Amino acid sequence: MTHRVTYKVNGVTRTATIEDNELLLDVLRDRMGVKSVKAACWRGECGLCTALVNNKPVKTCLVLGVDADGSEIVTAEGLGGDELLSPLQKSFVDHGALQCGFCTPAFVLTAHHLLETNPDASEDEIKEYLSGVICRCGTYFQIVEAVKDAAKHYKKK
Amino acid sequence: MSFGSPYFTVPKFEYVKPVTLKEAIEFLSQHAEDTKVMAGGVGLLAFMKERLIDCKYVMDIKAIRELHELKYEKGRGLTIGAAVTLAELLEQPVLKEKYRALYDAVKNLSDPNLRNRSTLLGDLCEAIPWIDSPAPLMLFDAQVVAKSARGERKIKIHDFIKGAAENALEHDELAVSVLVPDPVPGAASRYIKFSRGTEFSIASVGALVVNRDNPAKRVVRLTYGAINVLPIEAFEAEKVFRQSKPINQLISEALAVVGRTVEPVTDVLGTAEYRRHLIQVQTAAILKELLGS
Repeated sequence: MTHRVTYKVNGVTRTATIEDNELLLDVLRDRMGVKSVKAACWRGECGLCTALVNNKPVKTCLVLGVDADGSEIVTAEGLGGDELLSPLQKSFVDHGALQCGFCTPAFVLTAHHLLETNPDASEDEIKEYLSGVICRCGTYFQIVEAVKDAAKHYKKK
Repeated sequence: MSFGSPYFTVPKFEYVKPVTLKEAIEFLSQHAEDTKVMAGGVGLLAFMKERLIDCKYVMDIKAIRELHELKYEKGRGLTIGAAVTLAELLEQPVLKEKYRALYDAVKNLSDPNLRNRSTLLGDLCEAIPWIDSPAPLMLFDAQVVAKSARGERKIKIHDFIKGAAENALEHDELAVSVLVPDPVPGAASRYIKFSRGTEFSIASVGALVVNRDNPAKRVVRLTYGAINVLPIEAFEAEKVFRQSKPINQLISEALAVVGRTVEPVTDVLGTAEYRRHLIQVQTAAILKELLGS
């Protein structure tokens, strides 16, 4: 069976006709061209397919596209709003918190949600909250520094 | 996009999303054998990708309002609906205040991103040996509420896991909630698990203590997860604590009884010998914390 689904992706209403068994990850990447959502392990372990779905970071390789119908989705492309990069994304650049960059969108989105809900997160809380995303280059130290540094932008709000 | 591997795709099925409990139960009574129930889908979709599960229908229960019930009532306890995510559960202050062992388990279950989707009942119904929910739930004598066209029944948590990936539900039954009764006033509990990072537990222990200082009324409960196909309550070791002896001596005696009566197995995650060692260390640590010696 096919379903007509509608998401709001980074503020823009998008629709697609999809099969029952299509994953949100595939719908975003292949049908909507949102390529910052990365496909890697496909089984919820690496976290690189993370997107903010209704303002919560979820692993889109374990969500059905049809299940997400009507959702509001934010990905790395949309985090900065009108700006190219959000303050958190800039902080990742400033701290060199990436090597190959493949995991960066997932880390940025997960950290964004953490700082939105808890801008005073301690270093341990940051590490715990980011534990669902894996960086194979091993830039964890810089990632935590970037998140700590960006927290000030969330406190001002 | 599958890169030619079946592990990246989900086999074909028909997606069903009832909006009322009645509708869901009716559907199950007609298509019980061909249907898999999906809450968060975290486990189900992973198993389907691995071709361990194949079904004609996937029934998504998240649109059913009753299943999002998350409520604590004094005297009755905590009701956790089948569609309540682990993240929502963690936001309840009562979880840490009254059900600390369950809080410990949920706080360290998978990772924060997955907890935005996965559910406690989903974890429990999966019934694979390394899940975290049975050991803490056993401490509080939780019950699973199951509904079908034939009526409603409550299944004791001790009887819920039947084997590896086997639970006590009939095919046409829907697990609607877990009821975790109010603990006895003054009860303290903890849960410790051993795993590599966010991976599967290799051994876990839960403990609950009431009336620490009064041997006549003292209750100590010890439950184990991930060490055998079924979760285990160490009834023999619990009896040790009814004696009026110094706490340290009781803990040593209990550890010896645990060593004799709690039987771990060897599997891909660890050997029985390794697990026997782990549960000795974990049991000693958890009892010392709760009994304060």
